[in-house]
Amino acid sequence: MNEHDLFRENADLLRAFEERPLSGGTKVPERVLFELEEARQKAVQSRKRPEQGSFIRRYSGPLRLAAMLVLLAAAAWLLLPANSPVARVVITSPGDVISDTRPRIAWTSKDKPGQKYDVWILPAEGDHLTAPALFVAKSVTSPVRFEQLQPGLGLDTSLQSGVDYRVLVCLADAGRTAGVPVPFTVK
Amino acid sequence: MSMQIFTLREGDSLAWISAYPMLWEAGMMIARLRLAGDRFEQDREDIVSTGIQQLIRGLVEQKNDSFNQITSWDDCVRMLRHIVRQRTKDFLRSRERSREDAVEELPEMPQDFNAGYRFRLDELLPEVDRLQPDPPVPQVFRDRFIGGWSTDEIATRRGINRNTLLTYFAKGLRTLRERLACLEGGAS
Repeated sequence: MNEHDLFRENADLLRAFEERPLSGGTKVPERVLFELEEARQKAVQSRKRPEQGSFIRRYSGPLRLAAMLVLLAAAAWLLLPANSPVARVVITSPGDVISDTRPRIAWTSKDKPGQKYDVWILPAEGDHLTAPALFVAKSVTSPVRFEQLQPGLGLDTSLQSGVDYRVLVCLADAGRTAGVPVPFTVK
Repeated sequence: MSMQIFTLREGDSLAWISAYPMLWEAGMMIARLRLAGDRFEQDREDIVSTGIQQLIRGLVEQKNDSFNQITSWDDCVRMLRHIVRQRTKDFLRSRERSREDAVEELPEMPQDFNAGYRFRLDELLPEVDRLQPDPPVPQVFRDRFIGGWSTDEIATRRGINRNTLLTYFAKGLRTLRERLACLEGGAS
C-alpha cells in the first residue's frame, strides 16, 4: 500500500487535522522567542529607516517625467513655426520715405477679423518701449486716418518735414512690447 | 482570541508577544503532520520559526503586496500555514527525497479539491474515536494526525506492523469519509 497516495486521496480530510482551532496554550521555546523578537525589532527599524539609495534611484519617477517634458518642449520648439511679432503685423503705410505730413497708417495681419490695435508714432531715436509718444491711437483697426491720432507730448498737429520717425502697431492693450517699430522719413 | 491586525503591522511588542504562541501552534500543526517523527523535531522548529519571522517582516515592513493584502487575524494564520507548507516542501526537496520516499508529509491538495467545503475537526474527532471495533485504530489516528508521530514511529512504539498500520489508516479514512458524508447529507 502506498501511503503517499492514501494521504493524497484524503487530503481534504487530513487538512482538518492541520487546521484545527488554536488554543494559544502552546509554549514557544525560548530560543525561538528570542529569534522572533529579533526579527520584529529589525523589521520595525527597517520600516522606520529612510529609504536608502542614490539620488537618481529615489527620484527616478520625477526625473523621468522632467526629462520627458524637456524632450517634448524641444521637439515643439524645433517643429512648430516661429511666431514673431513682425510676421503678425506688416505695416503697409507709411512707406520708408513720404511727403505727406499727415499720413494714413495701414497694416495687414493674420489676426482674427475685428482685432483692435494700438498705434504709436515715435521719435526716431530712443528705446521704443520708453520713448515719448508723439501721436497715439488706441483700439483702432487698419487703416487709421491721421486725424484719429491723438497728439502726445507736443502740440503738433502734423509731422514735420525732414524729420525721421518710427511707427509702432501692437495688439490693443498688449503694450509696446508686442510689436517692432518701423522707421520712416518725412521729406 | 483574535488580534488587531494594525497593532501587528505597527510592530507593537505586546501584540506580537501575544500572537507568537498561537502562530507557533498553527505552524507546528502543519509541520508535525507533514514532517512527522522525532528526528525532525529540530527541523520543524526551524521551519516554523523562520516562517513566523517571514510573516513578521512581511506585515511590519509592508513592502510586499501579498502581505499587504492581509486584513485580519485569520488572514495572518492562513498566510503562516501557507508559508509553513511551502517551507516544509522545500525542506523535503532539499534533502533530495523523491515524492515516493517523502510519504511522511501530506501531499498537495488534489486539483478537484473544493475549497468551499472543509471538514471540521469538531465533527471529525468524535468519528475518529468511533473507529471501532479495532481498539488501536482511534489511538494510532491520534498519534499520526495530532501527535505528530511518523508511521514508522507508531509501528515501533506500539508494536504494530507498518503495513497493518497503513491498512488501519486506509480503512479508517474511508469510514470517516462515509460517515461525514452521511452527516452532511443528514444536515442538508
